[in-house]
Amino acid sequence: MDRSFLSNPKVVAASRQFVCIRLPTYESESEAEYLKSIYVGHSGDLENTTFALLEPNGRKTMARPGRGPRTFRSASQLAARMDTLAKDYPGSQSAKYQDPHPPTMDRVDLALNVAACDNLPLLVTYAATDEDLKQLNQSLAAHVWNDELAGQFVFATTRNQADLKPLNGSTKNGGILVIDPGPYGITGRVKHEFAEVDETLSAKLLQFVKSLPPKTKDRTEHRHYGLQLGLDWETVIPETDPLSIRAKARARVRD
Amino acid sequence: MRIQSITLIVLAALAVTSTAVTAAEPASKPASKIASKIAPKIAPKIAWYGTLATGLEEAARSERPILLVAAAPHCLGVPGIW
Repeated sequence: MDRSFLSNPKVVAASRQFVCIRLPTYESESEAEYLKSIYVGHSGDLENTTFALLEPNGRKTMARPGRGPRTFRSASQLAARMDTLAKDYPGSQSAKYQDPHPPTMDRVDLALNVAACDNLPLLVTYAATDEDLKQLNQSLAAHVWNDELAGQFVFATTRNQADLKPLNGSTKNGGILVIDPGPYGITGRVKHEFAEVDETLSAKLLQFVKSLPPKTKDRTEHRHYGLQLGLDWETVIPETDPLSIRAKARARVRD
Repeated sequence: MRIQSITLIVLAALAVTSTAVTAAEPASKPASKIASKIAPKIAPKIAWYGTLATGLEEAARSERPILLVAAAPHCLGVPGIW
Protein backbone atom coordinates (compact mmCIF):
# COMPACT_ATOMS: atom_id res chain seq x y z
CA MET A 1 0.00 0.00 0.00
CA ASP A 2 1.36 3.38 -0.96
CA ARG A 3 1.55 5.24 2.33
CA SER A 4 3.35 8.29 0.90
CA PHE A 5 0.33 9.20 -1.24
CA LEU A 6 -2.38 8.21 1.21
CA SER A 7 -0.89 10.06 4.18
CA ASN A 8 -0.26 13.22 2.20
CA PRO A 9 -2.18 16.11 3.83
CA LYS A 10 -3.66 17.26 0.52
CA VAL A 11 -4.91 13.75 -0.26
CA VAL A 12 -6.30 13.38 3.26
CA ALA A 13 -8.14 16.70 2.90
CA ALA A 14 -9.51 15.67 -0.51
CA SER A 15 -10.56 12.29 0.89
CA ARG A 16 -13.16 13.96 3.13
CA GLN A 17 -15.25 14.50 -0.02
CA PHE A 18 -15.15 10.78 -0.78
CA VAL A 19 -16.27 7.61 0.90
CA CYS A 20 -12.96 5.84 1.46
CA ILE A 21 -13.08 2.07 1.37
CA ARG A 22 -10.03 0.00 2.20
CA LEU A 23 -10.52 -3.73 1.86
CA PRO A 24 -8.13 -6.29 3.31
CA THR A 25 -7.24 -8.43 0.32
CA TYR A 26 -7.95 -12.20 0.54
CA GLU A 27 -10.28 -11.90 3.56
CA SER A 28 -13.63 -12.26 1.77
CA GLU A 29 -14.64 -14.21 -1.31
CA SER A 30 -17.27 -11.67 -2.36
CA GLU A 31 -14.98 -8.66 -1.81
CA ALA A 32 -12.26 -10.40 -3.84
CA GLU A 33 -14.71 -10.92 -6.72
CA TYR A 34 -15.65 -7.25 -6.52
CA LEU A 35 -11.99 -6.16 -6.54
CA LYS A 36 -11.36 -8.32 -9.60
CA SER A 37 -14.25 -6.61 -11.34
CA ILE A 38 -12.47 -3.29 -10.80
CA TYR A 39 -8.87 -4.19 -11.58
CA VAL A 40 -6.83 -7.23 -12.54
CA GLY A 41 -3.09 -6.85 -13.11
CA HIS A 42 -0.65 -8.63 -15.40
CA SER A 43 -1.08 -11.89 -13.51
CA GLY A 44 -4.72 -12.08 -14.61
CA ASP A 45 -5.83 -12.61 -11.02
CA LEU A 46 -6.36 -10.62 -7.84
CA GLU A 47 -3.10 -9.04 -6.68
CA ASN A 48 -2.16 -7.77 -3.22
CA THR A 49 -3.14 -4.17 -3.83
CA THR A 50 -5.79 -2.27 -5.79
CA PHE A 51 -6.45 1.44 -6.20
CA ALA A 52 -9.44 3.09 -7.89
CA LEU A 53 -11.63 6.18 -7.88
CA LEU A 54 -15.26 5.23 -8.44
CA GLU A 55 -18.67 6.76 -8.86
CA PRO A 56 -20.99 6.45 -5.84
CA ASN A 57 -22.53 3.29 -7.29
CA GLY A 58 -19.16 1.57 -6.84
CA ARG A 59 -19.15 0.25 -10.38
CA LYS A 60 -17.89 2.89 -12.78
CA THR A 61 -14.27 4.02 -12.47
CA MET A 62 -13.50 7.75 -12.75
CA ALA A 63 -9.76 7.31 -13.34
CA ARG A 64 -7.58 4.47 -14.52
CA PRO A 65 -7.46 1.84 -11.75
CA GLY A 66 -4.23 0.09 -10.88
CA ARG A 67 -2.19 -1.56 -8.18
CA GLY A 68 -1.65 1.78 -6.47
CA PRO A 69 -2.08 5.53 -6.87
CA ARG A 70 1.16 5.92 -8.82
CA THR A 71 -0.82 6.30 -12.02
CA PHE A 72 -0.80 9.91 -10.73
CA ARG A 73 2.54 11.71 -10.94
CA SER A 74 2.35 12.97 -7.38
CA ALA A 75 0.15 13.07 -4.31
CA SER A 76 -0.69 16.69 -5.14
CA GLN A 77 -1.89 15.66 -8.58
CA LEU A 78 -4.05 12.93 -7.06
CA ALA A 79 -5.53 15.40 -4.55
CA ALA A 80 -6.27 17.92 -7.31
CA ARG A 81 -7.99 15.25 -9.40
CA MET A 82 -10.06 14.16 -6.41
CA ASP A 83 -11.11 17.76 -5.77
CA THR A 84 -12.16 18.15 -9.40
CA LEU A 85 -14.09 14.88 -9.49
CA ALA A 86 -15.86 15.64 -6.21
CA LYS A 87 -17.37 18.83 -7.64
CA ASP A 88 -19.81 16.73 -9.67
CA TYR A 89 -21.31 15.28 -6.51
CA PRO A 90 -23.18 17.63 -4.16
CA GLY A 91 -22.91 15.06 -1.38
CA SER A 92 -19.16 15.56 -1.36
CA GLN A 93 -19.59 18.94 0.26
CA SER A 94 -22.66 18.40 2.39
CA ALA A 95 -22.62 14.81 3.58
CA LYS A 96 -19.31 14.27 5.32
CA TYR A 97 -19.49 13.06 8.92
CA GLN A 98 -23.20 12.32 8.62
CA ASP A 99 -22.96 8.55 8.52
CA PRO A 100 -25.15 7.23 11.35
CA HIS A 101 -22.72 4.32 11.82
CA PRO A 102 -19.03 4.14 12.71
CA PRO A 103 -16.95 2.50 9.97
CA THR A 104 -16.74 -0.88 11.67
CA MET A 105 -15.11 -4.03 10.44
CA ASP A 106 -17.01 -7.20 11.22
CA ARG A 107 -14.04 -9.25 12.49
CA VAL A 108 -12.21 -8.20 15.63
CA ASP A 109 -9.08 -10.26 14.84
CA LEU A 110 -8.78 -8.71 11.39
CA ALA A 111 -9.44 -5.19 12.68
CA LEU A 112 -6.77 -5.72 15.36
CA ASN A 113 -4.29 -6.67 12.65
CA VAL A 114 -5.29 -3.68 10.50
CA ALA A 115 -4.93 -1.36 13.51
CA ALA A 116 -1.42 -2.73 14.09
CA CYS A 117 -0.60 -2.15 10.41
CA ASP A 118 -1.79 1.46 10.71
CA ASN A 119 -0.17 2.02 14.13
CA LEU A 120 -3.58 3.18 15.29
CA PRO A 121 -5.74 2.28 18.30
CA LEU A 122 -8.75 0.04 17.82
CA LEU A 123 -12.28 0.75 19.06
CA VAL A 124 -14.40 -2.34 19.62
CA THR A 125 -18.11 -2.17 20.34
CA TYR A 126 -19.46 -5.22 22.11
CA ALA A 127 -23.00 -6.06 23.24
CA ALA A 128 -24.88 -9.27 23.82
CA THR A 129 -27.79 -8.56 21.48
CA ASP A 130 -28.10 -7.17 17.96
CA GLU A 131 -30.40 -4.41 19.17
CA ASP A 132 -28.01 -3.28 21.93
CA LEU A 133 -25.09 -3.37 19.51
CA LYS A 134 -26.98 -1.33 16.94
CA GLN A 135 -27.83 1.31 19.53
CA LEU A 136 -24.26 1.38 20.84
CA ASN A 137 -22.84 1.86 17.34
CA GLN A 138 -25.32 4.59 16.50
CA SER A 139 -24.48 6.43 19.72
CA LEU A 140 -20.76 6.06 19.02
CA ALA A 141 -21.04 7.38 15.45
CA ALA A 142 -22.01 10.85 16.59
CA HIS A 143 -18.79 11.05 18.61
CA VAL A 144 -16.26 9.81 16.07
CA TRP A 145 -17.33 11.48 12.82
CA ASN A 146 -15.71 14.88 13.20
CA ASP A 147 -12.61 16.68 11.95
CA GLU A 148 -10.46 15.72 14.90
CA LEU A 149 -11.32 12.04 15.30
CA ALA A 150 -12.12 10.87 11.76
CA GLY A 151 -9.43 8.40 10.75
CA GLN A 152 -7.81 8.20 14.18
CA PHE A 153 -9.18 4.74 15.04
CA VAL A 154 -9.84 1.41 13.40
CA PHE A 155 -13.27 0.03 14.36
CA ALA A 156 -14.69 -3.39 14.97
CA THR A 157 -18.02 -4.57 16.29
CA THR A 158 -19.11 -7.90 17.68
CA ARG A 159 -21.65 -9.59 19.88
CA ASN A 160 -19.53 -12.70 20.20
CA GLN A 161 -17.64 -12.69 23.49
CA ALA A 162 -15.06 -15.13 22.13
CA ASP A 163 -13.90 -12.40 19.73
CA LEU A 164 -12.62 -10.43 22.73
CA LYS A 165 -10.18 -13.18 23.73
CA PRO A 166 -7.08 -11.51 22.21
CA LEU A 167 -7.90 -8.29 24.08
CA ASN A 168 -6.13 -8.37 27.44
CA GLY A 169 -7.89 -6.59 30.25
CA SER A 170 -11.47 -6.63 29.02
CA THR A 171 -14.20 -7.09 31.60
CA LYS A 172 -16.41 -8.44 28.79
CA ASN A 173 -19.38 -6.56 30.24
CA GLY A 174 -20.28 -4.82 27.02
CA GLY A 175 -19.64 -1.32 25.82
CA ILE A 176 -16.81 0.38 23.97
CA LEU A 177 -13.28 -0.92 24.33
CA VAL A 178 -10.30 1.25 23.43
CA ILE A 179 -7.47 -1.06 22.43
CA ASP A 180 -3.76 -0.57 21.95
CA PRO A 181 -2.79 -3.28 19.48
CA GLY A 182 0.42 -5.25 19.85
CA PRO A 183 3.00 -4.77 17.09
CA TYR A 184 1.80 -7.82 15.15
CA GLY A 185 -1.89 -7.26 15.82
CA ILE A 186 -2.27 -10.71 17.33
CA THR A 187 -3.19 -9.36 20.75
CA GLY A 188 -4.19 -6.01 22.15
CA ARG A 189 -4.41 -4.32 25.51
CA VAL A 190 -7.57 -2.62 26.75
CA LYS A 191 -6.67 0.96 27.63
CA HIS A 192 -10.19 2.21 28.39
CA GLU A 193 -13.59 0.64 28.65
CA PHE A 194 -16.77 2.72 28.40
CA ALA A 195 -19.96 0.99 29.47
CA GLU A 196 -22.06 3.54 27.65
CA VAL A 197 -21.82 6.62 25.48
CA ASP A 198 -22.22 10.01 27.11
CA GLU A 199 -21.52 13.57 25.99
CA THR A 200 -17.93 13.44 27.23
CA LEU A 201 -16.90 10.55 24.99
CA SER A 202 -15.48 12.63 22.10
CA ALA A 203 -13.29 14.62 24.47
CA LYS A 204 -12.08 11.46 26.21
CA LEU A 205 -11.24 9.77 22.92
CA LEU A 206 -9.46 12.88 21.70
CA GLN A 207 -7.48 13.10 24.90
CA PHE A 208 -6.50 9.44 24.50
CA VAL A 209 -5.37 9.95 20.89
CA LYS A 210 -3.32 12.97 21.90
CA SER A 211 -1.67 11.01 24.70
CA LEU A 212 -0.39 8.28 22.39
CA PRO A 213 3.33 8.27 21.73
CA PRO A 214 4.12 8.20 18.01
CA LYS A 215 4.53 4.66 16.73
CA THR A 216 6.68 3.61 13.83
CA LYS A 217 7.86 0.28 12.52
CA ASP A 218 11.01 -0.76 10.78
CA ARG A 219 9.59 -2.85 7.97
CA THR A 220 12.62 -5.13 7.55
CA GLU A 221 13.01 -5.71 11.27
CA HIS A 222 9.28 -6.34 11.75
CA ARG A 223 9.23 -8.99 9.02
CA HIS A 224 12.47 -10.57 10.23
CA TYR A 225 11.31 -11.03 13.82
CA GLY A 226 7.84 -12.02 12.66
CA LEU A 227 9.33 -14.82 10.59
CA GLN A 228 11.55 -15.88 13.48
CA LEU A 229 8.51 -16.02 15.75
CA GLY A 230 6.85 -18.28 13.18
CA LEU A 231 3.95 -15.90 12.58
CA ASP A 232 1.97 -16.73 9.46
CA TRP A 233 -1.30 -14.87 8.90
CA GLU A 234 -3.95 -17.22 7.58
CA THR A 235 -6.05 -15.56 4.90
CA VAL A 236 -9.67 -16.55 4.28
CA ILE A 237 -9.07 -17.18 0.59
CA PRO A 238 -5.75 -18.20 -0.99
CA GLU A 239 -3.32 -15.48 -2.01
CA THR A 240 -3.06 -15.13 -5.77
CA ASP A 241 -0.39 -12.48 -6.25
CA PRO A 242 2.52 -14.38 -7.84
CA LEU A 243 5.13 -11.83 -6.74
CA SER A 244 3.97 -12.04 -3.15
CA ILE A 245 3.72 -15.83 -3.18
CA ARG A 246 7.28 -16.19 -4.49
CA ALA A 247 8.68 -13.64 -2.03
CA LYS A 248 7.00 -15.39 0.88
CA ALA A 249 8.31 -18.80 -0.16
CA ARG A 250 11.87 -17.43 -0.46
CA ALA A 251 11.67 -15.70 2.92
CA ARG A 252 10.30 -18.75 4.70
CA VAL A 253 13.15 -20.93 3.36
CA ARG A 254 15.77 -18.33 4.28
CA ASP A 255 14.55 -17.70 7.82
CA MET B 1 38.82 42.57 23.43
CA ARG B 2 36.43 45.52 23.41
CA ILE B 3 34.13 43.75 20.92
CA GLN B 4 34.08 40.64 23.12
CA SER B 5 33.08 42.71 26.13
CA ILE B 6 30.26 44.40 24.23
CA THR B 7 29.02 40.99 23.01
CA LEU B 8 29.02 39.66 26.58
CA ILE B 9 27.08 42.68 27.82
CA VAL B 10 24.48 42.30 25.05
CA LEU B 11 24.08 38.57 25.74
CA ALA B 12 23.69 39.21 29.46
CA ALA B 13 21.06 41.87 28.77
CA LEU B 14 19.16 39.48 26.53
CA ALA B 15 19.23 36.78 29.20
CA VAL B 16 17.84 39.17 31.82
CA THR B 17 15.07 40.33 29.45
CA SER B 18 14.16 36.73 28.64
CA THR B 19 13.94 35.83 32.32
CA ALA B 20 11.75 38.86 32.95
CA VAL B 21 9.35 37.85 30.16
CA THR B 22 9.13 34.32 31.54
CA ALA B 23 8.48 35.64 35.03
CA ALA B 24 5.77 37.95 33.66
CA GLU B 25 3.73 34.90 32.41
CA PRO B 26 0.63 35.09 34.62
CA ALA B 27 0.72 32.26 37.11
CA SER B 28 -3.05 32.04 37.08
CA LYS B 29 -3.23 31.13 33.38
CA PRO B 30 -5.05 27.79 33.15
CA ALA B 31 -2.65 24.93 32.49
CA SER B 32 -5.00 23.50 29.87
CA LYS B 33 -4.65 26.65 27.76
CA ILE B 34 -0.89 26.46 27.91
CA ALA B 35 -0.99 22.72 27.23
CA SER B 36 -3.28 23.15 24.24
CA LYS B 37 -0.79 25.54 22.71
CA ILE B 38 2.14 23.20 23.08
CA ALA B 39 0.31 19.90 22.58
CA PRO B 40 1.19 18.30 19.27
CA LYS B 41 -1.56 18.53 16.69
CA ILE B 42 -2.90 15.18 15.57
CA ALA B 43 -2.04 14.46 11.96
CA PRO B 44 -5.29 14.09 9.98
CA LYS B 45 -5.75 10.65 8.45
CA ILE B 46 -8.07 9.09 5.91
CA ALA B 47 -11.17 7.62 7.56
CA TRP B 48 -11.46 4.16 6.04
CA TYR B 49 -14.48 1.92 5.75
CA GLY B 50 -13.17 -1.58 6.28
CA THR B 51 -15.92 -3.54 4.57
CA LEU B 52 -17.36 -3.23 1.08
CA ALA B 53 -20.96 -3.41 2.25
CA THR B 54 -20.73 -0.52 4.73
CA GLY B 55 -18.69 1.62 2.33
CA LEU B 56 -21.03 1.14 -0.60
CA GLU B 57 -24.03 1.76 1.64
CA GLU B 58 -22.59 5.09 2.79
CA ALA B 59 -21.61 6.09 -0.78
CA ALA B 60 -25.16 5.41 -1.95
CA ARG B 61 -26.67 7.22 1.04
CA SER B 62 -24.45 10.30 0.78
CA GLU B 63 -23.98 10.31 -3.01
CA ARG B 64 -20.26 10.74 -2.61
CA PRO B 65 -17.67 9.21 -4.96
CA ILE B 66 -15.47 6.40 -3.69
CA LEU B 67 -11.76 6.13 -3.05
CA LEU B 68 -11.14 2.39 -3.14
CA VAL B 69 -7.97 0.74 -1.90
CA ALA B 70 -7.22 -2.89 -1.19
CA ALA B 71 -4.15 -4.14 0.62
CA ALA B 72 -3.08 -7.28 2.43
CA PRO B 73 -2.50 -6.69 6.16
CA HIS B 74 0.56 -8.90 6.18
CA CYS B 75 3.89 -9.05 4.42
CA LEU B 76 5.53 -12.43 3.74
CA GLY B 77 2.75 -13.77 5.95
CA VAL B 78 3.81 -11.63 8.91
CA PRO B 79 0.84 -9.65 10.25
CA GLY B 80 0.92 -6.09 11.55
CA ILE B 81 2.37 -4.49 8.44
CA TRP B 82 0.92 -3.60 5.04
